[in-house]
Amino acid sequence: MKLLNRIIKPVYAHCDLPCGVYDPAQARIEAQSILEIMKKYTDGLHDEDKIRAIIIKEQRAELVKHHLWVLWTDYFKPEHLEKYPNLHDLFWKATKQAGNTKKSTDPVEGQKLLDMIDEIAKIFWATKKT
Amino acid sequence: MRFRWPIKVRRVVGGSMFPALSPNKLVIGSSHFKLAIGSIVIIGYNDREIIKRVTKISQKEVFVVGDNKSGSTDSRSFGWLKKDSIVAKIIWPRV
Repeated sequence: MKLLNRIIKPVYAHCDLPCGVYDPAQARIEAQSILEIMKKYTDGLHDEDKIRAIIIKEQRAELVKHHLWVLWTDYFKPEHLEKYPNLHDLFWKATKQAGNTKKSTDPVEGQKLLDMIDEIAKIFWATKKT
Repeated sequence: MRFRWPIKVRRVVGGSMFPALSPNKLVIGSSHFKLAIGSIVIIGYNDREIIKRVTKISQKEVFVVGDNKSGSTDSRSFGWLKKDSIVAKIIWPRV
């Protein structure tokens, strides 16, 4: 068999990302964290906790961006865009909103981010059904 | 002019054509073929041969997609490929 494998040339049934595992839940969990941090911040925290909250919120927002970008660039394909023409706009606005949550401690901004991720998730799961 | 053997025997590497073609499956292709939507083809891409199914045909190009859509890098990522780059159409197994 080894000899046969050496003689016969391979033809690649190729995939860049062999695992193929994607889930908007990753971005959602981080966004949920951001929202909860904002609520705690608004309810009142000690000064040292405030500093920690801001640092963690900053990190979570960066993770949201990362997870959204992975979905946007690796999972979604042109055929999805044909069916959901607002997809690019949605990702652009959601990653922008992740940036906005860094600049604010208002839970309203956190909720906006969550809603946008939920909208992306809806499309994601619809593409999984087809 | 160099003679090119019209029959190509290849071994599938990867799972993008699963379940029609599992990894390590031997396939036989013919370089004399009539192309149709649904044909599985061996096609030259980036200095190597890939195997995919033809889903759209234009005058000069083809759009090829792996059967295992969630685990395939294909025309959905890299776009249409020239018909000239098709090396062979799979004649066995008939899938």
